[in-house]
Amino acid sequence: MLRGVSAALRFLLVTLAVHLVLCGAYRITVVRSHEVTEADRAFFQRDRSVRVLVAGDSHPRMNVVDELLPGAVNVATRGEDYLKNRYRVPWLLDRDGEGIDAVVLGFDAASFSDTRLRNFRPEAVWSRYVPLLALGPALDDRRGFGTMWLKANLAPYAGEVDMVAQWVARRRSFRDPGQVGTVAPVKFQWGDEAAERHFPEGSGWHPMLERGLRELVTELAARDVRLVLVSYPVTAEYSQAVERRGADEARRERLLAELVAPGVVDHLDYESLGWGNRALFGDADHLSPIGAKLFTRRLHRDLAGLGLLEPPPGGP
Amino acid sequence: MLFNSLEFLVFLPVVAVLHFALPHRYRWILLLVASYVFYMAWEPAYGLLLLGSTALDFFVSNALPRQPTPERRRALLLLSLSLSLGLLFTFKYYNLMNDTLHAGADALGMTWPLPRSNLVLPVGISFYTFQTIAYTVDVYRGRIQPERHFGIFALYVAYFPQLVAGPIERAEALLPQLHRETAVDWDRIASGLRLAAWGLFKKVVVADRLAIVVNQVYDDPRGYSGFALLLASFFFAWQVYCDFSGYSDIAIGVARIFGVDLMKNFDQPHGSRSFKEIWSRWHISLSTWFRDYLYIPLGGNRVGVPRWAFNTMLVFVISGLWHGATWAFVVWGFMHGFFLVFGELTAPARNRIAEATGFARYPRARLAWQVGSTFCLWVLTLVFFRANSLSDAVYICTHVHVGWSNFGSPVALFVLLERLGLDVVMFAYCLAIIPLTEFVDWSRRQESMQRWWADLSTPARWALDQGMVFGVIALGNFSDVPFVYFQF
Repeated sequence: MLRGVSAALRFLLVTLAVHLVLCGAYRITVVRSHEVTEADRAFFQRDRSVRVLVAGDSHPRMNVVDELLPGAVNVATRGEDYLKNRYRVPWLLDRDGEGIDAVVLGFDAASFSDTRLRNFRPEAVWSRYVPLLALGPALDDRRGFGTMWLKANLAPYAGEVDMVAQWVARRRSFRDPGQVGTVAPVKFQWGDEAAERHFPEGSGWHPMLERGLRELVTELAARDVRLVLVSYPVTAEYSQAVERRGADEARRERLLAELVAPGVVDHLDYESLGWGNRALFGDADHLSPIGAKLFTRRLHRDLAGLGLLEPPPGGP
Repeated sequence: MLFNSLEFLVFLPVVAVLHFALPHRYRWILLLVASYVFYMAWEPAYGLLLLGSTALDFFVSNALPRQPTPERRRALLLLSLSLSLGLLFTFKYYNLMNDTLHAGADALGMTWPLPRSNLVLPVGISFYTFQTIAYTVDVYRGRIQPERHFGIFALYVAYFPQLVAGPIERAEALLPQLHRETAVDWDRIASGLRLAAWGLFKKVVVADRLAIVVNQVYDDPRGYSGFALLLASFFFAWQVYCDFSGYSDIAIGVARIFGVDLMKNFDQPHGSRSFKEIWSRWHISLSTWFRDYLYIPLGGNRVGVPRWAFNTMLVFVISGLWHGATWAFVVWGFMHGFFLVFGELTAPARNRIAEATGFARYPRARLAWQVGSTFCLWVLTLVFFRANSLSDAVYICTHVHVGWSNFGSPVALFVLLERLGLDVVMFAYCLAIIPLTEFVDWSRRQESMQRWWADLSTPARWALDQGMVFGVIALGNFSDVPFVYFQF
């Protein structure tokens, strides 16, 4: 009996040792070079004269050309929602001291879609900001968030073969922005098809996303950091399709009216900026490289107009 | 509770430690409580259904030997069968019958008065109903004596390792083992854990990974080209095999830890040369159930060819219905019956053709042809098994040839893989884990490999065990994907 118990314990010890090695290996490979971690690192290593933080999802990631927006640092990553923003932005500000004057954040039709919730992979990355155990009860999913927390803290590599594959292939987010252009003519989605991705049947406005935004507004106000909400350009077909699918423009307008306070929370609306000019778009809700350059210049001018950036050279 | 859940990871060691800590006379209580906790984790109310079904068969089986006349015995058996099958009908088949009659009434311009049922199918009901039916029929036939201990009988029905998806155990094999006192046997425990870990590997690493592709395509077949339809259909063959045989391996492995041997349920079915052989290697506990309790009572192979063909078709159509209450499953069962009957009837002619053409002189090539063609037909039947509707299945079968003009273009392949949620690395990974699984299952059947394993040094064996454990953890898909056969 004792011989068996002793063998079982030895086996478990070896298992534990291998497990710890794998945890460490995962952290120094996938976690360290993940797009989010790299963006954080770039944020902390920026020139201290850069005092505007651009955050959000694929819209600022793909529509803002970083080189054309001096004075701002872009930490946006695809799939990032207000819940992630609500915890990640204060996490960055806390560790940065008082180096940021303003945060630029997306405010789009899809920003409140419940399809955006619950994507916290890789958990080892997102659990650094997001209190998963506290979110579980709020989202009525204690088990799911408890499991995510356990995975993040006890076995970060569990089920992560696809993340490791992405790391091996040097693709450090859950999709690779660098690869999109390769297949653009075939996979781009316009109008209703793209709208369905953000608002599939049965989806809708999620109050936790609204709460995330509200809490972030309060946090930033308490830190005396200005917030600029930006409605990024989308195609007219997409704009109409998401409203048909329940994006609820009226509710967005009401929320905006409640939040906006000039000089504290501002709103820049570019939603209809490229309507009628499809060449500006790469797909229904993202700009093409040309469109992104033109848009970034416009954004630069408008942020300068708000007194947040130096005016671009060669014009007001 | 799912075998591939965190809850089970805690549940199993707790029950195992308590089991061996308790004196033998109390162990059945622990296992019975554990089995009901395991089952009621899905829906507590269905524990009562399980208990009711258990009580019915216990009292009927104990009353059977006391009946004074064969007619009374037969009547009691019929009562038990009617109640068991009635329960199954109510939960599983009512809506199929109701929808069919409703559609028929609509076609005739009549109104149909009965509403659809909103009852949720209790998990595992088809499995435990068949297990209790087998027990009652065996008692009726005098093959076994009725179990006098209600607790042990309840444990036989609800034994958690095999309760929800089999193997469908026979009372003569399982009941004596539940009575037998077992001591701690570390070799058995290690072997049971190893088998359960392998089953978990097949489930979470292979089946659930392939399921990502299969679900994408089968949930929207009209959105994909022929290559994607074909790829998803072949992937589903391995998904369902690894899912179900993985479940069976976990069940057998877990039962082995507690000192109980469950029957083998799979024997590398993809290596079968005919449909007859498939059914001696796939879901063996169900196919032998149908053989013993339906096919042989219908006359088996002691009847003329037309009657044999009819009986075989009937058994397979009922087997299709057992799997699922949709017409797609009926078609699936019909196809299996047809391929089996056709294969048996044409075997002599095919042998003569092989002799005449000289193909018979190349046994390996002939074996490869037989295995390959049987497997392709098997995949064809699985389209009806997996498709969300009969019309989807027909669409897939009739559009496999569409959209191959882009095949071979790297960009087209890349686009397709993106849509399937894969990149090239993950696609290669999916292709690699399939032969690995087949190889390990093949090697488990080989005596030479078993001797090789027994001769391995402890560090080498541990290294392989660790490889499997960490293979499960690192490569698994842990999104709580239920086992395919739970729906039955």
